[in-house]
Amino acid sequence: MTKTAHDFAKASAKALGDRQSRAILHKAIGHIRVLRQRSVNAMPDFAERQARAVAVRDNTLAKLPELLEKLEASVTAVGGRVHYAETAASAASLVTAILSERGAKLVVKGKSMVSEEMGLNEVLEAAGIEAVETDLGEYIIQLAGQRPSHILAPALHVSKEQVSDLFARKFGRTSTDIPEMTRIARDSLRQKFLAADAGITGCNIAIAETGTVTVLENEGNIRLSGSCPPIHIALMTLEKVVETLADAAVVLDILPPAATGQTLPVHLSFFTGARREGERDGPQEMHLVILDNGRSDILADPKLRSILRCIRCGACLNVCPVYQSVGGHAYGTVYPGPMGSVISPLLKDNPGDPRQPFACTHCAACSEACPAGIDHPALLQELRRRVSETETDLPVAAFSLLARHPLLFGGAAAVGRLFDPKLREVAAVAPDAPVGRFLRCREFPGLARPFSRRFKALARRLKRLQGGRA
Amino acid sequence: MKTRAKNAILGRLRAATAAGFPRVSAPTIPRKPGGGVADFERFATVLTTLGPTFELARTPEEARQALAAYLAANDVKTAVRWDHPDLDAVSAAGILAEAKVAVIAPEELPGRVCPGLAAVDLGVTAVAYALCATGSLVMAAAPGRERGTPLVPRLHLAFVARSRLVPDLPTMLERVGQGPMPSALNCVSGVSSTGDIEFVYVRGVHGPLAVHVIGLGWL
Repeated sequence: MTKTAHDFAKASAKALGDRQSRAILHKAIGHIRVLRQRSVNAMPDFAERQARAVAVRDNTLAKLPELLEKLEASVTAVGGRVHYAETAASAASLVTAILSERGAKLVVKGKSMVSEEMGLNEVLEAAGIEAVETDLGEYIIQLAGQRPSHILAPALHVSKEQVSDLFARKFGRTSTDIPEMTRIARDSLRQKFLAADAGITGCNIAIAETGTVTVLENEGNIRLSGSCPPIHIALMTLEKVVETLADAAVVLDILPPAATGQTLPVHLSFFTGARREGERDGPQEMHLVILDNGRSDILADPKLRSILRCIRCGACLNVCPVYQSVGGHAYGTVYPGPMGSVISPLLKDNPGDPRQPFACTHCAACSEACPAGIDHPALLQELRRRVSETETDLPVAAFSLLARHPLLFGGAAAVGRLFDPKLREVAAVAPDAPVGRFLRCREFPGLARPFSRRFKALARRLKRLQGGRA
Repeated sequence: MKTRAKNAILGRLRAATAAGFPRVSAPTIPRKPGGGVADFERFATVLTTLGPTFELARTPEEARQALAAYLAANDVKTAVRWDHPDLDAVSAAGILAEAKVAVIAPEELPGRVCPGLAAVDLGVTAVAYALCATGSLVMAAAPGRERGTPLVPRLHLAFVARSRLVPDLPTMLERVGQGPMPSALNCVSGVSSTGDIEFVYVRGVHGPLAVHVIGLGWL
């Protein structure tokens, strides 16, 4: 097993012991699923919408280089600037440079997973720039010094009591009433919006023909971040582009229902370049940062490229039994759950535990929920195959050897049956050896009497049963 | 350096999509032409379930009365408004003046508009479109139509002319696509909300705490 900074197996074992977080997660996710189902049920044409969206996403991927050039030309034509970044780290320095050159000290940020991927907040902080997350969940996470646990609802795992304690510590003002806590956050964030030197947002859909950055949200913090400060920096990964407004409409047909069960979110904003002549507000400068970080290689990979259809709705997380049990943090990566297990190991910076694709039961609830028609289990299977090609998994290699040599198998089984029929002792004796690790997180039915010895009795019983039925 | 990253990325993408990349066999399935309804009844029904309030004015006089009543009921002392023909059609400026509301003229706005609007009670706007299927107000930024007006003040009042109603978002995007995109096009459905703490739904996170719409039935 490759040594990595993050050990998914250990982190998930720890997460499974945290009953409180699991209960909150379970409740919240159950709620999102009900909302989604209600919304999909209310759309008799959902399958049709889905088929259209898959076609748009596939067409986009086939024309990606052309569309990015078109996007750049359109953004430039409306007074914006486009920057490309090869890696997450180079994107973070690029953004920091834009801000430092302009003397920006305070930045308000709309929720953006790409910014998380870039580790932008830490880089900005090191450059002496205060970056304030303005999505309520993300703000709570930032105040608590944590990482998001869900791509849509980052503070899904935090209880209201924890938020209340956090606010008391940070603001000296708190409540246990959720609307009142929201009000406290509003008051604090409003000062930041009005004083900010720049706003940084993500980008749900970039429209090539118009140079438009489209963002969806319910709170209004992204709209404020892209409207009030004198500089707007939008961050996107390169596959987020579509060709036309009509194509954007097709994606918008499925994104909100799949994500939150809404037909449209409260705020759907189309930002096209900087403020125009004669306009008194809106950013004077607009920058669009396009990040690759491994995605161009994914596009070149015929077996995995369909993951680039992903529209980040989070539906696969909400139905995944693994995600629901261990929560987002156990993954140790920016993107958790099924889509995260596919994309994370393929990223250039911060790829996480290469064995993350093994955290899947192949139940296929994700592919069923995916509005973009991604077959996550098949992609995870392919990633597993690649991991097993590069590293030898000792327990599997041992089993393979035994299975190919019946005598050896019989001998090993006889020894096991004699000393450790449940295979618990091996795990206890050498918990950190490969075999111990393998057995530790698996429950075996135990070694019974060999089949060869039971065969005659079983055959007699079968005959009796068949005779009885006749 | 910047060009190098661009060239490297586009080079890889071109190589990836060059030969043998599967073309989508079926062309994008066209969306059914928007045959949805576009009337105030449908719009108001959806709008009011999302939080905003609605009243329909059948004549300019009714609209003026509705505005005056709203200003009095909400204790509006200061306001900012868009420069828009739909507002002129109801003589909004005159009503605001009669109600002794201090209106910040666009030319009086400071260099940074949003902080200048933070203490203002009301933002008055019209809309570019209103979407009946989703109860959405679609606002386009332009000179004299600041983004901050419907966003920063405590209250937002929008005048929606009957001719601005369209069935749904795709219909709106189709019409928008016939001209140049404004610098900001905001499609707002309801009042700012969040569910970020334990998924409990709370309205009024950012932006105006309440939105009122006056439909202009004759326009």
